[in-house]
Amino acid sequence: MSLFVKSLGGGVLLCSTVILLSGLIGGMPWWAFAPLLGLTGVVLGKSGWQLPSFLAGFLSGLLVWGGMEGYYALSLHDIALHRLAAQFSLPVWLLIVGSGITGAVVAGLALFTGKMIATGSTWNIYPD
Amino acid sequence: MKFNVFKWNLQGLFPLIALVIVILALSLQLGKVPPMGVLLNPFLGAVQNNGGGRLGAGVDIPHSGVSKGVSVYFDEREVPHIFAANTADLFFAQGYVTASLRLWQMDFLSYVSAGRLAEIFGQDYVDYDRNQRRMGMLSAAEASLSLIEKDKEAIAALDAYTRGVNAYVGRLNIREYPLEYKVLDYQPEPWTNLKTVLILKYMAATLTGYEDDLNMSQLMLALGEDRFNALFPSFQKHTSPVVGGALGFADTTFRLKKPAYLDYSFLSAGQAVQPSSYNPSLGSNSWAVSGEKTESGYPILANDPHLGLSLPSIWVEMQLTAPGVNVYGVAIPGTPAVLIGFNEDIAWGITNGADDVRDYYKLTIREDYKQYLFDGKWVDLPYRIEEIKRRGQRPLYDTVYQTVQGPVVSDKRFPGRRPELMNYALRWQLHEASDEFLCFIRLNKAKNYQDYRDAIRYCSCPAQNFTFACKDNTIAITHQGKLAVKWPGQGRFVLDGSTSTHLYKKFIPEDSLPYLLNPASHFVVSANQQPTRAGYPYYYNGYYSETRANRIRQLLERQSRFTLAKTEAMQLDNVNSFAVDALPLLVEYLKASAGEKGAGTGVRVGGVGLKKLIDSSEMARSIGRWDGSYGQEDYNASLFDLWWHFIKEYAWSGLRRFPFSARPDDYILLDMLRDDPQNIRWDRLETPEKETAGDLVRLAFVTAADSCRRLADKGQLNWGKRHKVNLMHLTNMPGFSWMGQSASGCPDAINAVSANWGPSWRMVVQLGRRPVAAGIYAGGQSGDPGSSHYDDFVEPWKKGKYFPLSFFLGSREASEVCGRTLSLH
Repeated sequence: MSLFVKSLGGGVLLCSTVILLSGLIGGMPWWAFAPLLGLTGVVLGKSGWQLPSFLAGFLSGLLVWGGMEGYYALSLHDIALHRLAAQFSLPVWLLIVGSGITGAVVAGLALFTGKMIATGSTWNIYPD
Repeated sequence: MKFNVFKWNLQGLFPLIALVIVILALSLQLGKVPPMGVLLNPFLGAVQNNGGGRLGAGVDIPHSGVSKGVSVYFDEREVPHIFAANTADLFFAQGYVTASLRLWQMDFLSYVSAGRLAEIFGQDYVDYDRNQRRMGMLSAAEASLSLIEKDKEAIAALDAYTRGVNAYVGRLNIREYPLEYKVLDYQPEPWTNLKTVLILKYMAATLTGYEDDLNMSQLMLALGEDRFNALFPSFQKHTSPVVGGALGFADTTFRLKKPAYLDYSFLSAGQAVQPSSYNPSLGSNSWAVSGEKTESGYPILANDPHLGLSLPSIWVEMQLTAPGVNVYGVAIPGTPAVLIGFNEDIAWGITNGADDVRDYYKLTIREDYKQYLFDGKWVDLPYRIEEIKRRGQRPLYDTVYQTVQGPVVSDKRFPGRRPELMNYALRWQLHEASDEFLCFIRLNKAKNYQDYRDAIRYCSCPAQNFTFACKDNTIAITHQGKLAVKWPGQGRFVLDGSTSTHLYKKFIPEDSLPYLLNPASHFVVSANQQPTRAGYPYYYNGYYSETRANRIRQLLERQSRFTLAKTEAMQLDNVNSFAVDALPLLVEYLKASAGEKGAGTGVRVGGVGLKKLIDSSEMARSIGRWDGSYGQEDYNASLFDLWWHFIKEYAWSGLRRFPFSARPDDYILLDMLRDDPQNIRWDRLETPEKETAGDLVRLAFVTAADSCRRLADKGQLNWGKRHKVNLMHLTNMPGFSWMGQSASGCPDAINAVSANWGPSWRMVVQLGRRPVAAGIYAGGQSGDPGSSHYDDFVEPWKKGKYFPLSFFLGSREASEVCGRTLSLH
């Protein structure tokens, strides 16, 4: 079990860094992290690193997108999200969660795609 | 572990396709849902539009495009004070700074004006776009631009402004796009001079887009000459015209004859007339008081233009300084110069002239639309092909026919919004090429009365009243515009498009336009009222309203030693002077029921005798004591509003059988109630008794009182509960709007706040060695809904607050006071 956690944790750390850096650099479209994560997935797959790729990608996306959305909302004294929330009759926290989920789905798919292209197989747990 | 680079797996194909589909779905607008990937991503999306956190730091922009350095100082309300070394840099900086505040708004308005909304919103707006093109908005802008390109001064200003806007747009990255672009899924396009002209035409259309020629024609035919002139006279009795004459002038003897060509073979009988989507009450107040009547001895000028209330506001505040010009006021995003404001020597204000400059000509067109009849001959019918681009589809091509009078807005293939005007040509002064920019550029620099007159000559459409005050104690007002010379009645009714005799050949000469210079009354007033008395040598018609002007004149006559504070109080005056004029008569009729035998005693409402209801009604006593003020907390205002509403309903019930929406002016009805109480018109055919004017008034009162009782039970009686203001975002998205707030005022009061239009800008200026001014508009300097400066003026505006306007005489003053600087090198 600990191998699973270490493997997943390491994967999430790696992917989160990719997503965060590609977002902060700027000058690229919003989905730029997807091909980068795909590439990451290919490399991980080829190198034999065993990890649940969709889950890893999903968690990274959720953490970075959800976390940064919340961070910016707080530090910039959010008005925009409040107005959008009012427009669509949703609570603001749901928008932040929605942001997290959007990033999560794309990241998870991207990493999974990369891994599938590389190895053609889904993740196997090392028997403990 | 072996790293086999060359072994790829087809199983990766399916998740890859899924990934691409998901990214596409999140990047595109799907139905009404905006692109979620664009909007919700933390690095580039909506959350980045929160402007609050980033202000405070100075910004330095090298290689911006100016020839010498420009300094822009922002005060605490985000008002930019621009200091440039030459006028080209000044307009460049104005473009740059306005774009940084209101890019989406100015871009969007240019699309609205040109009829390009289908490019943004898709098929749903194709009809809107077709209508705009057929009304000639785009072609009018193109014609004006061609004229402006021949004028060195104006084209230099436009070029510089355009370069400034594009310098800002060029530096924008996706993260900084205004929020609306992200929600609506499109990008800002490069600015052009044409877009600037389109915005000016948009304003002109807003102010002159109203006409009721078909209504008036039908009414003239239905009522006959006598009744038509009685109900819809050309000159009002209770009026304070812009340029008055001696009181007692026999204005009301002016009568319009029914035009000979206007009969039921010319017009189909009783065609239903669609109510106009334009607001004829869009107007404004402006007055100037000379030093003889002010505390300081220097003139005071006040202006509050009434426009549709929107977010962002149509106005943006700024100061423009360069050698030869130092002006403060409001500008319209997308156009150079300041439109309403003051400089070191003068102040000026604008109100809508409300003249009718829009006419429909009935055409005889061949079935195949190849020719039309003109002066007895069939002439070729030219046309213009309008390309209407549509989002996600191929463009639509619309054929717009044009006669010598103007475009044919509604034809067989596109009946449009006004099918009753099918095969009529639209002749609109707006279509004629004009250079209004020069008017404002020159006004900004004007130092005296002569400069002012020279500047406003360039204002041709819309016709406006320009009030003026100079620190040398000159005050003036000019009714300025390109107004056609008309025979009596020409333009009030639809015209005959088959004859050249119905065309306008000349315009009222510049020096014959109504004006006042330093009148003996020591004040000038304009509030969209009649410009002149009946003795004016040229016929004209328009959509004037007298009540506000009457009230302003009263207040200016009664008081003296005006200060800025007194002027502000006047702008916020909630009194409806029509109500004040009407109440004595109406209350007299109410009281008459107490003694009159048989008068209306047979009428029963809700089982209780009329007489008893009125006698015991607290409301009757209360309204008798009311001062006519439409304050938020006032319940008499609600009562009067309903009472007069029912009086009109009953009085004009005879007109209901006609499908026309026009009703006579309130004063016409009041005079009839007073002067002719026994007339058969007041008799209600449903009852056996013969009612008089008094009966009608009493019945209306009881009905209104009844409604008021029910409203009071629900706690909804106060005027503020019935009178709510909305400031809608330009796309009507409620999340970006400010809605449903109670407000004082009413359309007939000086404080003419209404459901979605009103005093969009309030300004008071006192001239002197140094001008002192206060102002406020309903909105905020930033157009981005994420900014704290998007709507920070709205609450204060609603409460009647004014901000002192910081007018700096030099950049050193500005830099000392202002917290934030933008430097363009």
